[in-house]
Amino acid sequence: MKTPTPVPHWPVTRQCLPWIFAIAVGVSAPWVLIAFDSGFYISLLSKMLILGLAACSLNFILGYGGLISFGHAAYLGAGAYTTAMLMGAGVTNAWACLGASIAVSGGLALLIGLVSLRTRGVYFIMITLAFAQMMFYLINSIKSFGGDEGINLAQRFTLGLGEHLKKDLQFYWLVLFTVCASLFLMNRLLRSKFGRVLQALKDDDTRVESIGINAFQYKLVAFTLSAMLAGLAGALLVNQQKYVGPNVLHWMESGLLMIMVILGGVGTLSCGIWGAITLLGLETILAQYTTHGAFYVGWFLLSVVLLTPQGLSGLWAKASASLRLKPGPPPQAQTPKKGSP
Amino acid sequence: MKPSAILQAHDLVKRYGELLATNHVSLEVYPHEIHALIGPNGAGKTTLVTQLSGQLQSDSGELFFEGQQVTHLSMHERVQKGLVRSYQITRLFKSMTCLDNIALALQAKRGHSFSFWRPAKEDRALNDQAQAILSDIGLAHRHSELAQTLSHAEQRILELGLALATQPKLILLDEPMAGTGAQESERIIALIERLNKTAAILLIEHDMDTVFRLAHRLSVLVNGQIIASGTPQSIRQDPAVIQAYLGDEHA
Repeated sequence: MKTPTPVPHWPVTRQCLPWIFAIAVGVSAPWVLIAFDSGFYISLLSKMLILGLAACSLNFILGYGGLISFGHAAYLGAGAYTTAMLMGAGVTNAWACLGASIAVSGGLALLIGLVSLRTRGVYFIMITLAFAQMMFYLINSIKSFGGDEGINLAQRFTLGLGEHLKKDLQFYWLVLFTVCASLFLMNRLLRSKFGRVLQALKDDDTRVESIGINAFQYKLVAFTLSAMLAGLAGALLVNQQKYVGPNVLHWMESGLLMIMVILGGVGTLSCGIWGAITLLGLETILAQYTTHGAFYVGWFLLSVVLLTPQGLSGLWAKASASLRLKPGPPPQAQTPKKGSP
Repeated sequence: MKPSAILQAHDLVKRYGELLATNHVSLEVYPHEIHALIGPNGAGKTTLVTQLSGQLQSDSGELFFEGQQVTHLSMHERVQKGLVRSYQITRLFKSMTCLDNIALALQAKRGHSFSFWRPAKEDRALNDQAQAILSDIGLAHRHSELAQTLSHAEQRILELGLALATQPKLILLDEPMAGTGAQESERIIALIERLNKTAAILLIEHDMDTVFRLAHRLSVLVNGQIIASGTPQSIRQDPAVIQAYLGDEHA
């Protein structure tokens, strides 16, 4: 009999490579834009990353935990409104706003999760959707939340360094840092023992119970963590746009986040980012030529879903696998995590 | 009730509308024994196992495990006490490796899965223990294969490995040999005997040769009711059993 083989570790360099590459792209992107005299797109870049973060947080429970939440915009919106209200009340410290948004979204998810996570499958999809729509109508009807007109901000929050993040570039650095830190955090979570339970839940949650784990508890923690990250994205979003309206809570927004996840490739850590960049990029480009951009985006989505079930990440994995010369090791380890079968 | 039984079911009932799936079942399993539960198709064997494991709550009746009332405990709480089931239809964590499957069951038993930061793969003690269990069940060479790539028989074995890793005191084995060939059955029988060294077993099995070879005691379930309980010899000769069940095959 073979002696117990140690669990293979990834070489540090290979593990870090995608991260270094992504950060390099993120850091150089605004300079490229400025060089091409298109600095005004930096704000769009921030928006892509922010919505990408929200989509990644959805993927954390959807792609890894198998929890198809169709009300994720509720937590994005809760975070956005928390920060907007705080800033309206004169709190302009970014850390306070971000912290409060994370706390409110997390708390909300804890309550909603306590109820909705007792259901499964289609019922879970419906109940999360129902809660999100309740939030939408609630915010829409309360005057002090701005009603259907939303809340405008005079300026962005400050980092306590004496400077408002007035310039889009400064704000972009904050967004880039936050998104990278969040992705790193999710990566750690997914590789931990907690992450192992989360993955198992996706395969078979009853079986998880039958080896002695309280599945509900783990789902609730994952659901809450995911909402906290969505709340963080919400706090950034309201500062990026200097505006928040009830539409951020609408089910269309939840659907949009889900489309980003599917487009990027369910169950890949960074899929939300790629999905957001593609979707928003496509919309922006098409808007220059036609007022019927959504029509073409629809066809694009359809073809991605039909041609590559694992989204753009799957396409990327395939492409890099075929580029790699045949005699090499079997092309198995391209994507950082397993994709859904 | 004899105090020494590890599992005592008393008057368990499960209704589905008008159908009495489990009809006032009382059952005792003793430590270190292999107790077989036999009965024709549709007798309610799996329903009973599902009730005993806690996946399904009983409509009435009581269940004691090691003398403690466990009637209202959930499945994962019963597993923590040592009452563990395995499944007739293999239910593994298919997108995870064999090693991760076992390691998950081990970390569940240790009760410290709420570890968020440290990579799970760096817990050498846990992984070594998981690897030891894989060696034990003869799947050491498969440690980094995904569970879904295993053959049917290997999946059945890993299924038993999952139960083993939770360090059970009593295992409810629901047709562990379902769908396996003769050679593989031998492997599984050996594994059941190995499990029996440390745990009592309630075995559901259709193959009578296997049942009479392994079981110390038997209970016969027909239409949701236990019609006889006893040693293999006494069951073989029980006229009610012969008429209701064995007669069909052994006449």
